[in-house]
Amino acid sequence: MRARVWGLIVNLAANAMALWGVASVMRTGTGWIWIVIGGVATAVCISALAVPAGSADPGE
Amino acid sequence: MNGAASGGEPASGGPHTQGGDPSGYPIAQRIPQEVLDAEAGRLAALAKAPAHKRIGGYARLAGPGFMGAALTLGAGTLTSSMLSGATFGYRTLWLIWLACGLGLFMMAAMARFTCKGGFRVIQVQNRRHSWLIGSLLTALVGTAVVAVIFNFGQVALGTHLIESLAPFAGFSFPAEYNWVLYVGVTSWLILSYGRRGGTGTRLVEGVMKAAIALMIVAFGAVLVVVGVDWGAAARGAFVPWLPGGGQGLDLFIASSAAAVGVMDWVFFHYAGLGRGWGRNHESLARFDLFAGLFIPFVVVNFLVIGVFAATLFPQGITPESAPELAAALMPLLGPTWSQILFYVGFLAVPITTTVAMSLAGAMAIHEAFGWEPDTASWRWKISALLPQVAFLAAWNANPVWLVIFIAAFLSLANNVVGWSMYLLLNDRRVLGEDRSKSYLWNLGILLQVTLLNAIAITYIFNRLGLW
Repeated sequence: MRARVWGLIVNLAANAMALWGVASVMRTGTGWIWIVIGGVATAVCISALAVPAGSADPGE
Repeated sequence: MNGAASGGEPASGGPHTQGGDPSGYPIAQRIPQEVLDAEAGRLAALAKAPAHKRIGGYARLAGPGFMGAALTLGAGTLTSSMLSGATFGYRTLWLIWLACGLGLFMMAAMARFTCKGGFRVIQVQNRRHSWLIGSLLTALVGTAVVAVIFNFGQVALGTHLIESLAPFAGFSFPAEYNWVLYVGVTSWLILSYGRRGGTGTRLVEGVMKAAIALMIVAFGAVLVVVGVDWGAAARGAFVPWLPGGGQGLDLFIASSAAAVGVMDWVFFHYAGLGRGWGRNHESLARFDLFAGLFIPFVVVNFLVIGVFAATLFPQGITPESAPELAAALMPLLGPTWSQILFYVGFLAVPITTTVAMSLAGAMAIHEAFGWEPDTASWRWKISALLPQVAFLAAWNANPVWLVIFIAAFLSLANNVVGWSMYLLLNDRRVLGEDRSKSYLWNLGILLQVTLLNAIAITYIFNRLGLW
């Protein structure tokens, strides 16, 4: 369960990174790299966190 | 009638305990055992019945989902749909079903907590994730305070609509006086819940179902009068479109995450417990979510957007508040009967939301303080009627600073409550073998949690001048 909590925190940071990129692109036209890194990290976090807990979840 | 989570923590029904029997929830205890047994028998028979009979039977037994639709179809949601129709035409229809559909994953988790968990979720949050997340963020901030503050908008709209309807009957009935009628009717419904051996609960659920049917008939008839551009409506429903720049992203995030929120989660869970739902009710609960919550939410919003897309949008008229939108619509509706019908259907919106929000608030206050809900007690009555302080809205009182403060707090807190629900659904110690074993289910919940994160982040960026 602790691993899932950390996964949620990393996901939040990735979301912030992607939105920071969006805000930066809207203001200055630059910052696409943050959108890409944040977007990919968000996709990875969500994909990993969606895996159901097994009978012997190492995170618990 | 029900067992505790299989393999989860040991069940016990009292306050501050983790597991339990839903029929042990005090509101359900007022329902005679023979009524609960008869419902269990009907459910068992329906499980073997052909699909069409099963759907009809489930529709009669459903209730908390319709109450959820009544809760979420409030002044805010409808004003947002009216504005969307007037500003963007049919082009944002797709957001409605996507937003509500995404919310169903979390609502299904609440159904799992009710039916198979058999516990009171806020008490389990207190135990597993601290009282800060359970009693404070979920119960008090996310539900009880929201019920009080957001009821100002419902009362303001309801009394305005009564005032607008009265001249059709040939008399004047200003908001300064008609609030007594509004508060009286809604208070009677609020206090009927959980009374008279469960018939009070069925009465409130019946009123909610009838009110939703009234909204659909009223807005549907008005839409027939004003006409529909079916091609544009079909494109709007299935081809994603957003306005450019930050406005588009704001609209997407707000619409997607706000359709079904913390109060909806809490209310559906506790309304199910109040009906004595147990292990055998999960199929009914999921049917209720789809037929009682999703379908009415989508249909009513589609109809409202359609009416404004067909009338104000082509003329470029975009008033800002619900009363202004309704007033601007009236000359375009033609016959008097269609104007009355629109107002009557619209009046059902704040009335049902006031009732559902007040009940959700009372349930949350009791859970936050570990009180046993007794609907005959003064404590319950005072908690349930607390949101009626919003009668002050009849004099245009609007606690703007409170709304801003609560909205800010909600923006920053809702995602944390979402995290907590996701963790509980996947917690073997809480749900045992009934925990989520579906990748798709978890994925849907995580997408909604990510949207709630986005709301919190954009709020902070906004305050810092970065958005």
